[in-house]
Amino acid sequence: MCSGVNNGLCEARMALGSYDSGSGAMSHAYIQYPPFRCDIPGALGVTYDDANKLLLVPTLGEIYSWSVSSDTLPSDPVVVKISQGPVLGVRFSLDCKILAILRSNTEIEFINREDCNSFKQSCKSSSERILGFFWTDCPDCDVVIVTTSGLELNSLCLGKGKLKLVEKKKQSVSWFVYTHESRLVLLASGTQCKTLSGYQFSAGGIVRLPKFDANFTKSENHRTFVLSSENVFIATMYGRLYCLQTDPLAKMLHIHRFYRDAVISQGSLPTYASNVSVSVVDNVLLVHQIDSKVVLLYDILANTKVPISAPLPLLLRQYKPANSPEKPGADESSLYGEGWVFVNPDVILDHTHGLLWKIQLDLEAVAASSSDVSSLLAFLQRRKCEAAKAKQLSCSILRSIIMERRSLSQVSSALDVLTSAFGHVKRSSSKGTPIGRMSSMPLILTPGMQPAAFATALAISNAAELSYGSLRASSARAFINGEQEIREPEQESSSIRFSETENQAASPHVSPQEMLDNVFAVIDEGMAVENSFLVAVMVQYLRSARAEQLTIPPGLYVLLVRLLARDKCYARIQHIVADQVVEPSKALALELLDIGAQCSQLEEIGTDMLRQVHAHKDYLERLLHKGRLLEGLRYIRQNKVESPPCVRFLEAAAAKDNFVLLASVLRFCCDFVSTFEHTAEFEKFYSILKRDSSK
Amino acid sequence: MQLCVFDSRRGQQEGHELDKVLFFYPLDCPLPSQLSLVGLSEGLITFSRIFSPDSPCEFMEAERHGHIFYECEPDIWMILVVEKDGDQVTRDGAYRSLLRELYGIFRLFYGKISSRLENNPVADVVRNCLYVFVPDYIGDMMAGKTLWLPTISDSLAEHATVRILSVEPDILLECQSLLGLLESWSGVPQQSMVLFHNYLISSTLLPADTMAMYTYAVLRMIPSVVSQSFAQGSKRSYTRHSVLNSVVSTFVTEPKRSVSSLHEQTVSQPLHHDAWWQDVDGFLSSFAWGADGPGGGAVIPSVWLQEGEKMTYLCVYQHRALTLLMFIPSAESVALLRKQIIDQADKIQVLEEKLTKQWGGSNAMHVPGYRYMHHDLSRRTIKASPPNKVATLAKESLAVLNKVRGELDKEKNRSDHTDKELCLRTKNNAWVSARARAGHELYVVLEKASDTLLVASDAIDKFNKRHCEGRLSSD
Repeated sequence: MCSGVNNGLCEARMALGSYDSGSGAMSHAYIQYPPFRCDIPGALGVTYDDANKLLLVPTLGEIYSWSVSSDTLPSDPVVVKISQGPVLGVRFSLDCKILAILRSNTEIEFINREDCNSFKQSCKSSSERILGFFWTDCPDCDVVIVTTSGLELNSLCLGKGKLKLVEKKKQSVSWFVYTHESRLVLLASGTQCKTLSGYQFSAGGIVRLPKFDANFTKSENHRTFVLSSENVFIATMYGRLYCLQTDPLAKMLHIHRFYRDAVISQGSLPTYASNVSVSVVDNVLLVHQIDSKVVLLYDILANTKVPISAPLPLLLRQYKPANSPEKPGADESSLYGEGWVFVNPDVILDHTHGLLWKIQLDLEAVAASSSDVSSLLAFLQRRKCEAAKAKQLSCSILRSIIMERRSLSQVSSALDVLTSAFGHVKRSSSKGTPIGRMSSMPLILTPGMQPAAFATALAISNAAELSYGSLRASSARAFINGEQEIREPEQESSSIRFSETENQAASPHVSPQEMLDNVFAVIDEGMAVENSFLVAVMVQYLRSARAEQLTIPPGLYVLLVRLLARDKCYARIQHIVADQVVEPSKALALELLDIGAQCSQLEEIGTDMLRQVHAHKDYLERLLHKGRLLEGLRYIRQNKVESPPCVRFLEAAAAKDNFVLLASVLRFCCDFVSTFEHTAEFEKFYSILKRDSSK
Repeated sequence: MQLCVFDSRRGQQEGHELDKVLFFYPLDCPLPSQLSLVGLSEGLITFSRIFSPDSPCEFMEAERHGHIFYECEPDIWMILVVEKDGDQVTRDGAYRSLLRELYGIFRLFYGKISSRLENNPVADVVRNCLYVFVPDYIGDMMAGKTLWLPTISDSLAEHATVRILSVEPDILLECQSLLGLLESWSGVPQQSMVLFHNYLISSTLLPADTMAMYTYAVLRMIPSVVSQSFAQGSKRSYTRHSVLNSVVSTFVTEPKRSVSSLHEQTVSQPLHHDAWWQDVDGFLSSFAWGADGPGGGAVIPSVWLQEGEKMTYLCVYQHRALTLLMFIPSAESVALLRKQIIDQADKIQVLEEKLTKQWGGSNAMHVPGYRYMHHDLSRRTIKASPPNKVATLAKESLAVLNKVRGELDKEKNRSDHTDKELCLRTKNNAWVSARARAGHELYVVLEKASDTLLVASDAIDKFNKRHCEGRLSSD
């Protein structure tokens, strides 16, 4: 049997070996080798404490815990000594001071790590069994125990060494699902376990959710299907809470969204397989088809109910085919092995090998395999974890569709996607301080997420929805934790060169300046498309950006005008400048003066624009150059601006051989410059004037 | 009134002087009078050229007549003779603008006179064109029996200019973007023009072409003058040829030109009344360019743009107050372009709605307290008080303004760069102000500001800041 497994693994390894080139392989989701390893001799199993992001391995007498949230994996686990006995479940309290161990289905042991005191809590009545428990940060209670007869809300009295029952919510429970991310517990009851009811234990208090029935297709042979906890997932995407329920017979995934006072069905997604599991990576829903070992990607905010891209296998990246054959752990590379458990939201535990994998998305691969540009860009604009990569991809996609000379309407709608994403963030970030914002849409629990960026996702969400509004107090903390947590993907991506400030690099949104630098200027330099098409594209962008009230950098207008001038469309430049379709700026004025060498009208317009933007110095220089001396002097007098030395005006006037003009300038100088009459210049030009006028 | 177009290079030999004349109005003017006008004009031009080779004679004032000279193309002159009405002499610049406008439209539809003459030295073609076109143009100025030539009341208006509307840049940008979408289908650069009511919204044409096309569109294409149904258009049973015949019968100057040869020339008649009608699909059609055989569809209209001197085909779409003109290089692409326009019809509709929302009605350009005209000489555009508001001004103020403008016209002709400011108090206690600088002119009449010069000047400065981007500030 052993050899059989090995053979199979060899094949798998060979197959994987071909994927070793990394991102070049076609796969949209991947797990990065090496995994997090916890090979402790005598381990009784592996569990994941999602509240503290701890990997826990109980052995006889000890519990090893690793924090798996930080970038560098700590080599040494934290060890807590416990008394011997069975361990059915382990969770640290949210401050990690208390360890709770489910010893049997009637008893939980609490161990204070500081003084090593412990006490045990048992069921009150003999008929009920403990199904599980979890810690909460809700103000009313500390630990919630789920039993077959309902929920027990307890607060911890450390001094007395016991739990104090706060409240009991009676209800028969067959099984339950809880994620700390959502603070939501779903309780299943009924003969088919299809009635689900939920509570949210948030920092704002306890919210009871209305009951709802899971829907699944009845089998043909009328065998009753019983819903199990493997069929139900709580998912948090874009700050919204969903219950995802698989329907193995219909091969569908039914989606329910939780609102504060309602649970509303959001339709179903096809899974194309019966045996599926679900992960959420960067707000993207991953449906694993366990049997066929492929992953379907869904974006809940996309308008369609079809996967983002074709199903492709999960990829094991940078796996080195074990060149140490003596190591039996080589078969750890087998994907979707028997020991695999998918833990909310993006973690895979391999019980067989004691491994923890973290699923990641390969945005490049998604981008490469999608043909619908607008929805692809919209998808990229919603990415948070690899924001810089998403931004870079967005720019390059845009560049390529322009260079491929796709139809202008296609390009235009792609641009609309980018500007509206950027505009949205800009508008929402201008409302109030970041702190204020955080409390208004709190608990963006997906770590490393920018609050501003997040607003986009929430834009569509209903006000009445059960967001994390109730989790206020905890949100800031959760956010801070989140910041420190899964940094891994983000840091990796920020090392990609993208000439941006740190703040902007963390968002996938493309500012007008970046559009100019990374898209338009690049295309212009490459001379990849004809000017007129690039002009048309830029006009589309300007329209889109101005509709979103974005600030356009002057460089964009300069480039537009330069392109038009290259095609000698001077009349059009004249129109768009006069109509203020392009906003006046000094840079643009100088560009117009430049073009003015070919078209005198534009020179005039450029000069006037210098005046409009109050570029006094350049404007006066222009007037001097053009010999419009009196106009220049009047401008100086009226606007009280610093002028070039008056000698230059006098020299220009003298050169014109027009003594009336010279007299005017001289008069101005006498009036405007104090003690000018006593200078050598005055004498000089006065004598010139006398000579000229007597001619 | 007399209007004459002649080519001073033609008919150099004695006895052939009549060959110079390309057009003469009135049509029934006896030949000797025609010759005497041409002779007088030519003499004046030759004489004045001695002193001013670049711009010879512009205006000749006689006891009862004024002669306005306009050299529309090198050696091709248009002479307008107008009767003087008492002491009030309308400035000659106003008449010259009229001639410029007339020539501009003519050239738009028939091309340059000189190049037509090169191709057809007998000058049949040019004469045909002029005899078809100019009477239509003059007919437009006729109200009953009187001819509406520019008067001093038109001092806050100008022929051969384009009226523009103050529109938010964002809407204009939207318009540009829409045009971009319409133009992008072929990859060939095209030209376009957008009108809203009788105002220009956008144009990619050269200013001269824009002016000509705009003036024509206002005469024949904008919603208020277009026939709204095809039924009406077809019922008219187009009578172009008969019109031509009647013209020709009155124009028999040289025996060698046979009437039959004229018949062979198909001359379009764009200024024919009711030349355009709107089809159900929103496109404007015209039989002015003839029909494809009896009962056939209308020939696609074409124009000569100055840019590249190429014949360009015209496709016109209208949605309520919005008129969209597209100029494309080949007639075959018209069908494709139409499809493109229909595809974007909803965007056109949105644009029209936005403009309508912003538009303040026919008095949109009215600024309370001011009667004004701001003229951008290089773009040939004006923003001005609506005519019904100008009509409230006293005759006296307008007469003064007319005079001021006349003076400024002279000043403009003398130097390249005008930088002038004038502010006059009229006998009826109104202020008439004119400012000209860097290709911009602003004329304002203030009849209520009966205060000091300072107050009036301040009021105009305020206007300048708000409506002319501060271009014409007082110093």
